Amino acid sequence: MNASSDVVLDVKRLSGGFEDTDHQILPVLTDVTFSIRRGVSAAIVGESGSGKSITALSVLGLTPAGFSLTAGQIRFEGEDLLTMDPARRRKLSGRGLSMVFQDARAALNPVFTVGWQIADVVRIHQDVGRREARRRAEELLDRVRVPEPARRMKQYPHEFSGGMAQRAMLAMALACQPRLLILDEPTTGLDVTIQADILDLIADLKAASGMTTCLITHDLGVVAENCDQVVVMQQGCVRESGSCAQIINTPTDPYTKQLISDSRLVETS
Amino acid sequence: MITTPTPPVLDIQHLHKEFRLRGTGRDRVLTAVDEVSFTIHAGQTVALVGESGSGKSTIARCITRITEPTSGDVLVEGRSIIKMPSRKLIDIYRSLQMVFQDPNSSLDPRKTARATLDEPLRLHTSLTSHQREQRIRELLAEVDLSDHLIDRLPRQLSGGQRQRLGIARAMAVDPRIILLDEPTASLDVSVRGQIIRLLERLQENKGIAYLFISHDLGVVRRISDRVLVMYLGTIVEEGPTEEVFTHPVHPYTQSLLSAAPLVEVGRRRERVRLAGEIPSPVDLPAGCRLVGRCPVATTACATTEPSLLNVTGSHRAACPVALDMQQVPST
Repeated sequence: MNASSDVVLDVKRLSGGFEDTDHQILPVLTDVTFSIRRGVSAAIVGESGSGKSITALSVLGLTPAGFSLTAGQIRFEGEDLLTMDPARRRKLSGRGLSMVFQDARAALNPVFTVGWQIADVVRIHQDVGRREARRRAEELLDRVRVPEPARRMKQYPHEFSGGMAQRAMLAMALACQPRLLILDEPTTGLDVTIQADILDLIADLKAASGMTTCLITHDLGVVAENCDQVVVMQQGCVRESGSCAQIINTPTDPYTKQLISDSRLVETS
Repeated sequence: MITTPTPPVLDIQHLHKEFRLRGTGRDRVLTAVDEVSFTIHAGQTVALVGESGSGKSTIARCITRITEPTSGDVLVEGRSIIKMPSRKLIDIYRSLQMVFQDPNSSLDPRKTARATLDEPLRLHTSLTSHQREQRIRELLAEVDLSDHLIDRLPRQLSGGQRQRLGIARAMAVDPRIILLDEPTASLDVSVRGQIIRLLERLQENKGIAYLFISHDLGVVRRISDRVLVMYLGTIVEEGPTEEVFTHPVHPYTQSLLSAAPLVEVGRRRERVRLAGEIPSPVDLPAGCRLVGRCPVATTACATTEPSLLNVTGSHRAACPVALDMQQVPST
């Protein structure tokens, strides 16, 4: 096993599935194995039903009811998250590793101001008072390039556009300076110019903090332009993994090849 | 395009749609589509691209009169449909059909594939039930849906199969033009490729024209002959697809095209950046809509609204500043 310190996340032979009414496990993940090196921008790519999101949720321990892991290990900085004391794991979530979800406006609570929600996260993880938490929240909004952060603090999620809401979610995820940030389809549903802005922002934040990012996406274009390590999944299995250049330029797996040509809208001959 | 005396399949003239927003004090006006004109000829594919709020879907809804336009005219094969009483519209829908983005909400959840395809045939043709059954099977074959799916309900079909059924329903009456509103937006890339190939094949075989509404620039480049770029309700640039993609003139088009990711490693292109986000279409100011976000704006841009100017041939752009800059190297 590679427990060397330059591996942030090491997922080994992870299997799991949903339990049906006869207590049979319907497999969703089968022997999923990959690792992410410190400081890279990694990506897990796949179509719907490939298991990419459930893999990410398993890492965070946020899998939906009915889903259970049947085998495997998830090591974060060498420690197995699955056998770890739950209190320790909770502590790691947010500080060690954090996650940004697809639909930012749905992920925000509609009845509290955005500023309140970011300050709340700051207060949970850091020992600071209300006023200091608010100040830090405003600073975070500024860091994710939300214009007029002081005014935006007092607004509710419905007053935010999709792109601005995703920035607010990033601010929240960054509140505790995580070492690994998992982004589940962070730009799906956003217009291409907003998508490009958010991806640029993520790259800049990453460069400034040195954190590792793992992007979950179906869009190979986004991967090719933003990532340096890629895991391709299909139907709960890892089809191929390697450097971005290797996967995009010289794929060996037939599914990966097909996915690339479909994404480029060219015919495979 | 071949110049023939026959009218274009679809002729949009100064289409305008405003929504009044009631509120305290005076009503405010949201201009969704502002004086848009374009034509589509037989067998041609014209793409409408633009970001959310640009008015592209409102145009499709006005053309089918799902939404009534405020002013302007829509001619289908030379016949104006705007003043037409709604009971006469059924004739128009023989020539003009629509495929919607979300097949889940545009298919009746309680109708089988057979019933879904039978309805347009009963409404628009005088075929006997036996002939209709035959035609339904033909239609299913045309969109590569196998016979055994004929009694399935939409929820028993996959996303791709549902979109095929939506296309088959639009094809049922042999229309001259189909409006496709984001037909591939909710599909996986492998299914997207199949649907694009299907649309191309159907066009080749039957000479149908498409108005293809999409924000997926890769698909647009692949499928369309002409492309219209929309921003806040107006066309800012139009032209032959390859010409617009390789030589975009309008700063908005440049920004949009340079933001679209390509499946190529290390090819992060130089982006043309606009400041901020798309503003609200409520109470639009005078002058160019891009003013305030545009990297090349001059003081004149804030007062005069630019009209579409010729770049080359049928390529036009609504930006005198960018056009002037283009001309500098050649002189």
